[in-house]
Amino acid sequence: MEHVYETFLTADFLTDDAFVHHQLEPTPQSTQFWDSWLAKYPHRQTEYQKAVDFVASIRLGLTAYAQTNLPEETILQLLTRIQQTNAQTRLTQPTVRSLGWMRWAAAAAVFLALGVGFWWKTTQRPTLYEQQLATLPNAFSEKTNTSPHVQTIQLPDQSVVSLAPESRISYPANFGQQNRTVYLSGEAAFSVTRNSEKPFLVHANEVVTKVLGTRFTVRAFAGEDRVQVQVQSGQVSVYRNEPTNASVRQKGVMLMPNQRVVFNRETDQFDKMLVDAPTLVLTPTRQKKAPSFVYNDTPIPQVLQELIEAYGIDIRYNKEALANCQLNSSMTNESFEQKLTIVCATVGATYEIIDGQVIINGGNCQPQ
Amino acid sequence: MNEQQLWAAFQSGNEEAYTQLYQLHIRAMYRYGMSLVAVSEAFVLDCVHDVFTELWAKRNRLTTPNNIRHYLLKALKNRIMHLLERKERYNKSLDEADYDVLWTEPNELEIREELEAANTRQQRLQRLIAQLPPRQQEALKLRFVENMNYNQIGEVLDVNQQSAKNLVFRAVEKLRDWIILPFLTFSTFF
Repeated sequence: MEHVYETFLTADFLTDDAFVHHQLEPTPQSTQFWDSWLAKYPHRQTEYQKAVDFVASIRLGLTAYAQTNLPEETILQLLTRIQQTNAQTRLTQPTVRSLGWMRWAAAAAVFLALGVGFWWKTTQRPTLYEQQLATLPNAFSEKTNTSPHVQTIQLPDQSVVSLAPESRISYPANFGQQNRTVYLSGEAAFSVTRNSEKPFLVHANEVVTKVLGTRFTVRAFAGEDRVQVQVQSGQVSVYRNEPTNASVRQKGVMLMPNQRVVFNRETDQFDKMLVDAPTLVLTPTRQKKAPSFVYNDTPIPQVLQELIEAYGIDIRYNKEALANCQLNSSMTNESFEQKLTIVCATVGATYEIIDGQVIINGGNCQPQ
Repeated sequence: MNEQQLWAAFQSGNEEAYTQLYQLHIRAMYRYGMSLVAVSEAFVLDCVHDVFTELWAKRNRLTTPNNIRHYLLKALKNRIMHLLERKERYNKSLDEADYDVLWTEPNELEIREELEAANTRQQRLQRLIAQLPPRQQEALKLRFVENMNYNQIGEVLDVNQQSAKNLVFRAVEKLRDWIILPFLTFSTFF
């Protein structure tokens, strides 16, 4: 095969595995091969030498990459983490622990003592969902959606769950005896049968969503840094899952229709806001037809009251300042936010959405 | 014990051998991982963690790779890409090859500026390499630092052997142009 090198130019050498390998990790055999080759084809000496220099140049240019520094401490810390995970897997398939393992266990203890390993907490496996399942009594049902489509599941209480792809849901055998508890990893929409005696609880990562009967969506993938709950109808309360302390429920938030809450798993905080595209809601007390949103000299406060009822979203505004304002507009097909924009433009006001409510700032009309 | 023997020992459950394999390759995995996703060291370390724990869990079912370094880097890249794709699953990300198309080639002036900003030959070369499209840089790293053959580079980059060679070939040609260009005018540089 050596004859192919006869016509090689610099770049050809550089794309030849045998040549580069010899430059990086020469062996006695490769040294012998290239020495005798050079002796045989002295006229290729120049091209060969250029290629050698070029490899050296490229490697010089890659020095920073080659020397990317990883502190010993990090290396040991990571190893400890790996071994911890392996130790958990080992529970199911026990093997003899060697002395080497003990040494690392000791190292692990030292790191723990130093508090260096504090960030394992956030990256620790298994996932919260799996930990929660582990606390359940033996008998529970689990559904996993491995398909690319949403799956519909009916629970024993006739509530319906739409389970998103790559999501899992499980519930204990005693579901519905005292309350109705399910555990979710991933995303699901719920339509919960009303039963005020037995609250329906969704555990998803750090967050518990509690409802009596309503439609809502929970999104809590193990790999995502937030948990999101949004409400289509009814009302739900959402709080941090801390079983040791029942009083934390006060720290939770109450969600009304068209509101959603995002729980930031890093800062441990709830952030309440409106859903992206609020829709008309039908409440048990207001089953009548949705308003037409066509206004002719209609007082602004009346317009806003209709919006509040139609979308179930609270709107705060200065009643006195806007008392004499009127609207002439047809907003049948406009979205909630477009309607707000039109109202605000009419009276020269602005609006902002704070904590899941609309606040209208400013605006004024001269009495006519 | 050579690496293949270490691997066999690890497969039979020897934790000492497993730890040695980790110690042998962790630095290369780290630098390669960081060159793929420099933004998050924690993310790269998580992925290394996943690769090694999965090896341990599946040790009975593994075959012995010809080149363990290559095997581990490939596993690491798969893991990284898998997690990144899952994160952006509603928003399919651009294919890696797309970026190379978008890469605009620096002009002569830009190359001179890069060179003038550097003080040492090493810095100059580093700056020139940084001007190459990302995949060419990755191929250079795998060929000239990790010492992978073109077949293995192709597997890591998900292209055939010839394309892997072409990536390195184009990078080399480009670098040579850039090195020769200032050499004619600023012969003190090289």
